[in-house]
Amino acid sequence: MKISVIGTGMTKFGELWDKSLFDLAQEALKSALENSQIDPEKIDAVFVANMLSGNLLDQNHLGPVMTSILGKNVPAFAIEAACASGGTATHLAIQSLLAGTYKNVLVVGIEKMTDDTIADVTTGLMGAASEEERSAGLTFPGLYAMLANAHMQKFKTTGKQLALVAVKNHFNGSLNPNAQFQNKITIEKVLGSTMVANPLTLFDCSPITDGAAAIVISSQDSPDNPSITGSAVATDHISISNRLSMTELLATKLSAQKAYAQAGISAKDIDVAEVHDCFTIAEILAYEDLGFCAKGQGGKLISSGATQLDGKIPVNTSGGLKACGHPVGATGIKQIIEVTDQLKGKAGKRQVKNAKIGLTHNVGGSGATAAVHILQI
Amino acid sequence: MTKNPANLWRKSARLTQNLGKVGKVAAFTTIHSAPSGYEHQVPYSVGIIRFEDGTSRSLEIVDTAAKNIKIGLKVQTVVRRIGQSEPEELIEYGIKVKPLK
Repeated sequence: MKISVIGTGMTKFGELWDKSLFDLAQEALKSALENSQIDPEKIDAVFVANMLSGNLLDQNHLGPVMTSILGKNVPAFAIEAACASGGTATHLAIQSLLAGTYKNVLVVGIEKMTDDTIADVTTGLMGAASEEERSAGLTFPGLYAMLANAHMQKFKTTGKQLALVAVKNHFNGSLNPNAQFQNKITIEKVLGSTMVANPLTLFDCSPITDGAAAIVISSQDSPDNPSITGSAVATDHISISNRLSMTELLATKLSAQKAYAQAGISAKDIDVAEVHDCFTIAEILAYEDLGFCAKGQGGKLISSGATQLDGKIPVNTSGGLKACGHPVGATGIKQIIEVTDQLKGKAGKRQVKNAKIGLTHNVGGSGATAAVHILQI
Repeated sequence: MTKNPANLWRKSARLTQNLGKVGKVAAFTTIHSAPSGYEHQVPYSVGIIRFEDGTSRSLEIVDTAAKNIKIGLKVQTVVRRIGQSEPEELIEYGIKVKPLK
């Protein structure tokens, strides 16, 4: 059975003060339905990915919030896997198609974050970590800063190499009209910006963002649209301190291996990838754990230019979480949309030539969940 | 609200298990942008500590300047106040580590 992405739609990502959670959902959902040209009567179920609407907006029960927009009484499911909610929801939606329960489903990712104070959002995001880590006063930048510290010590990865990730992703964001940040930056700007958690500065971190993204996926054959040929989710210990290694995300490695096997491909076949760069170090780890380079060589890979738009394996053509923005629940869906656009040759100024096989990589927490998808056209 | 009586009682009942432990810093950071309840401590350092008994935990590193913390630094557990409580909340005590003299 082939699973196809038959329609996509998203809002602009950014500080969207004039838009509510409902407005964002409505915009993304309607635009995906329109783009798919499917009769809304044929949508069998809705999967919605979100992390913080209960914490920040007092709104839970998002399934029927989505079907209210749709005006239908179909089943709807809210899925939370921290920042990997989008990838995880997509994985579950695919399982429902493979099982034959549904034929066409809508997957919506959404997050409304910028109404609240930084301390409140930081506290809410720490719900993705463990009680041990919260009690230690850790933050998400803090968790990834410790991973960066360990990587720099073991593999001599430099702050400059980390900064290059942000510089590349801002360049790509400058070509994406939906990106939160469309300005180019320099290495000096990254290294000289406010310290958030050593060694990560403000420009090593993805921003707080509002946004929604939606896709329609179908088990009906659709030759003009990309197929999802691999879909896998893996987990790891919720606390970094209890993991086997501090210099790899095992969940990424395991989900990637499974997704590659399902698609019958290997890392070297990937033409374009959207990876989870919540912090610059996270993109370096992703290169290694997805198999784009050997363990410890991530810093060298970014320095070589191979992951730039015109490189051998362009990564985060959308601008990534860093520049396109990171509305937590929407990120995993946005990644699928970006890769779909790349494979269909509709990525505008950031189009990668002859992209046939793409990968999305969505991480929850500090690596306790990872979802990897392979798309092919 | 997590600083409620039952939760803190449960945690404090287990606190003694972690006293007198010695270990090493395996990775660390200094937090400059804190979550609610920790803003007043900024900047403060946190590390992953590998203890001699084979256990590992993320813990705040106290009683030393950030510049003195290195991977491999020997530390011991101490009891300290955890975060800041709201006026109507109980004060939480828990484990942190300080350099082993």
